[in-house]
Amino acid sequence: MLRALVYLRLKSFLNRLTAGAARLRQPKYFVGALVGAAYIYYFMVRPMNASWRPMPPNGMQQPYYGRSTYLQFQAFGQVSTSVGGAVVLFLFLLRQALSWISPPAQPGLRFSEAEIAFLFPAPLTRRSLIHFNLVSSQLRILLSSIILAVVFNRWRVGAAGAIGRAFGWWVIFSTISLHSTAFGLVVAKALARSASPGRVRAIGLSAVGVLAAAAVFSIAGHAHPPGGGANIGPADLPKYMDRLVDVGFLHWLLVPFRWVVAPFLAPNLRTFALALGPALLIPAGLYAWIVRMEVPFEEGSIALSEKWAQIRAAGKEGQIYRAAKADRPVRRDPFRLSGRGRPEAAFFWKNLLAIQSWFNPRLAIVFLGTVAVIVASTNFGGTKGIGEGYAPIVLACASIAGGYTLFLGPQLLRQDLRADLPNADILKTYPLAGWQIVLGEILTPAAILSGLLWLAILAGTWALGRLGSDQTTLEPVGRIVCAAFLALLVPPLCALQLLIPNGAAILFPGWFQSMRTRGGGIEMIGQRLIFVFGQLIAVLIALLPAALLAVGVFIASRFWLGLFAKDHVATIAALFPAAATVFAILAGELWCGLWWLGGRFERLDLSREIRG
Amino acid sequence: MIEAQALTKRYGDFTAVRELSFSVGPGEVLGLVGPNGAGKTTTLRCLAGVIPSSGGSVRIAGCDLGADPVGAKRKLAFFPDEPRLFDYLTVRQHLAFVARIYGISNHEAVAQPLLEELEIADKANKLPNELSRGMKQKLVIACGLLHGPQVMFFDEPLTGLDPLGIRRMKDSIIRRAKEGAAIVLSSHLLHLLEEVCSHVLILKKGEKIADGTLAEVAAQFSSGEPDVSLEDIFIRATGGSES
Repeated sequence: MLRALVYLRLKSFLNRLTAGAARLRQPKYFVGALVGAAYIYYFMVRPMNASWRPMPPNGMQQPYYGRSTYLQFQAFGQVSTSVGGAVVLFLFLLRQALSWISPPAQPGLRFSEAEIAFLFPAPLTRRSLIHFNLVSSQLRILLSSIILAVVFNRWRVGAAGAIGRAFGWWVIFSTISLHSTAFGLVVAKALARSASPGRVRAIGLSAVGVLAAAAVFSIAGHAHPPGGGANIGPADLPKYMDRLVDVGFLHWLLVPFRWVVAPFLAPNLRTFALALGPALLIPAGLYAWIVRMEVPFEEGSIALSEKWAQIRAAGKEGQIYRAAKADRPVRRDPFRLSGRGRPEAAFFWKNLLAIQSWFNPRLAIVFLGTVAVIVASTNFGGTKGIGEGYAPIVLACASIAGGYTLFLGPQLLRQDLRADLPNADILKTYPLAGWQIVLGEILTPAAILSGLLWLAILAGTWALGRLGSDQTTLEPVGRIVCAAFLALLVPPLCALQLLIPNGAAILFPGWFQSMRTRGGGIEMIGQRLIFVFGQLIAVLIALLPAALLAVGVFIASRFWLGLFAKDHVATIAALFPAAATVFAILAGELWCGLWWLGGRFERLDLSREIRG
Repeated sequence: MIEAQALTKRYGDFTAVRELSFSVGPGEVLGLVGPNGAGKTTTLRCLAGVIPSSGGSVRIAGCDLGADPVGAKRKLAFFPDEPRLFDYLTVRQHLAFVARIYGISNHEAVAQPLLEELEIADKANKLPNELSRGMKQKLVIACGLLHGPQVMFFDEPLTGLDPLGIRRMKDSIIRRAKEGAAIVLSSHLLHLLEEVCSHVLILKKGEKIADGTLAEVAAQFSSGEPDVSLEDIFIRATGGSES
C-alpha cells in the first residue's frame, strides 16, 4: 500500500516537474518564468539572505531591521518569545475551537476523485485508506513546513535554525491535520449512530463553552494589569499576557498546546531537544486514536471530493468563488431585455446579471446609510467646524478610492470577455461583428467603474467646497466645471482601460488561458506581473497624446479667450475645448481599439492557441 | 445550403483538415464520421465560423462565410459537444439573451414551444448548475433553434442524453430536416447515424475517404455484399485504426 502511494506521489511529482520544464520551451512560459524568478529573488530571497544572520550567544532573537517592505515585522521581532507563543497558541486554539463549533454536515477524509475511483473499489481496508490519506497529507505538510521556514526566516523565532523551525512547523501542522482527521471521523461515527449534525454541533458548542467559561473563571482573579493599568506600556504587555495564560485551569488546558508549539519557539538547542519528546506525543496520540477508529467515511469522502472537483473545475474557468457558493440564488433581470434593439445591450444585461450579487440592496443600504450619516453630521452638526473636519477625510478617501478604481478596477472587475473566453466558440457563432461583441462585453464593467468614479468625483467636489477658502483656490464655478469635465472623460477612459486586459485576452489567449487553467508556479507569477505592468504602460501611452494635445489646446484657448474676457472666465472657458479635445482623442482611440480588437476576435482561433 | 470547397485547416505544420469539398442540400442530413483525431470537430468549427479556415471556402444558404460571416451566421446554428452555458443565467434568461443577439422580437412565443418540445419548460427559472448534463444539452439546443436556422451543425449531439432523450433528439433532427434544414452531425454512434442520416462523409487524418448517400458509400466498400452496416463500412474505410 505504502509503496503504491510513494510510487503515485513520486511519479506525479516527477511528471509535473517534467511537464513544467517542457512548458518552458514555449516563450510565454519561459518569459513568465524569468520574470517570476526575478520577482522571487528580489522580493523574497534577497531580503531573506540579509536576515539570515547568526544568532547571538544568549540565544534570544534580536530586533529585525530589514528592508522597508518588511518593517511591519519589526514589532514582532521585539516582543518576547512567550508572547509569540501566546499568539501562536491563541491561533491554534481558535482553529481547534472553530472546527468543534461548526462540524461539517457530511464529514469525510479528503481524497481526489481519481483516488476514490481507484482505491475505494480496491481490496483495501479502511485502515489502509486512512493511512493513504495520512501519508498524503504528510507530504503536503512537509513541503509547507520547509517553505514557511524559508519564507519566514526573517522572523527569527527560536534558535534551532531553519531546520528546527521547519520541524516546529511540521509538528504544528501535523497536529492540526491529525486533529482534523480525527474530528472528521468522530463526527462521521456520531452521524452513523443517528446523531443529527445539529446535535453534534450542540455538543461541540457546549464543550467549547464549558472550556471557555472555566478558563475565564480561572483567570478572573489574575486579570489585573500591572500597576493597576495606569502606566501600562508595550513593554509590560508581553509579561501581562504571559501571566494570563499561565494560571489555574487555563495553564493545564494549554499544556498540550504549549508542548506542540514548544519546538518552534525553543530559545536554544537544548530546549529544542527537550521539547521534541512531549511535542511528538500529541500527534502520535492522535495517530493512534485515528487508526483505532472503525468509521464509515466513504460517503462523506465522495461528497467532499466532488465538491473539491467542482471548485477546481470552476477555478480553471476563473470562477472559483462562484463554485464555492453552490447554492447561489437566481438573479432578477436588471432590466427587461426585449428581442429588438442593439445586440450589445444583451451583453450589458448578461454581465449585469453576473455581477448582481456584488451590488445587492443590503450593500447599497449600508453605503447610502454611511454617506447619509456623514452628510447629516456635516451639514446639520450645528457648527461649521464639523463639516470642515470631515472634508479633508472625505477628499482623501474619494481620491484614494478614485485612484484605485481607475487603475485597479479594470483588473478586478473581470465580468467581460475575460470571463467569457471559455464561451468564445458560442460567441463566435453569433451573427455579430467582432467589435460589437467586444463593445458589448466591456459595457458592464465600464458602466460600473464610471459610476464609482462619478461618486468619487462628486464626493471630492463636495469636500473641496467644504474646505476653507484658505485651503482651496478653486471657485465654485471652476470646481463644478472641472468636476463635470472629469466626469465626462470617465466613461471613455474606463472603457479604454478595459480594452487593454480584454485585448490581452484576445491577443494572447494562450497566455491568458494558461494563467487561468494551469495552476500555480513561478511562470504564472511572472505572467501575471507582465499583464499588470503591460496594462499600466499601455494606458499611459494611450493617455499621452490626449494629455499633450489638451494642454496645447488649453494654452492656446486661454490666450485667445484672454483677449476678450476676464482671466478667471477665460481660464474656465478654455477648459471646454481642452476637455472636448481629450474626450475626442479618447473616444477615437476607443473606437480604433474596438474596431481592431473586434477584427482580432473574429480571427481568434482558440484551438490553435491552446494547442500551443 | 452548405457548400464546402477545398476547405483546409492547418495548425503550423500539421494539417487537421485537407482540401475537403462536399455539399449538403435542404432536407439532407450528413453524418460526419471518422476515427478520433480525424478532424471532425475542426471541420464543424470551420463550417460554423467558430474558427477561421486556412484555405478553401464555405457557403451557408448562399452566404459566403468568409466574405459575409454575419450574414452566414444568421442562418446557421452550431451545437458543440460540451454544453457551454453562462453560469448565472437561468434557462429563460439564456433564451432572452440569445433572442436579443438574433433580434427575435417575439421570442417568448417561439421559446415556449421549444422548451416544451425539449421537456425543460418546468426548468425555465433554473440555473445551469441545477440542470443535469442532458438538460444543459437541451438548453443549448433550444438556444440554437430559437432563430429558426436553415443550417445546423451538431457535434456529438447525443452525448449525455438518456435513451429517451436520444430518441427525441433523433426525431427532432429528422423533423428539422424534413422541414428543409440542411444538417451536418458528427457522432461515433454509427447505428444511430444510420437511422438519421441521408448522407455520410468519412474522414481520416483530415481527408475525405468517402462521401455520398448511405447506399453509395455502402456500395463503395461492400464488395458486393448485401446489407452492410455503417459500422462495417467505417471499419473497412478507415482500415480499423486511427493512424
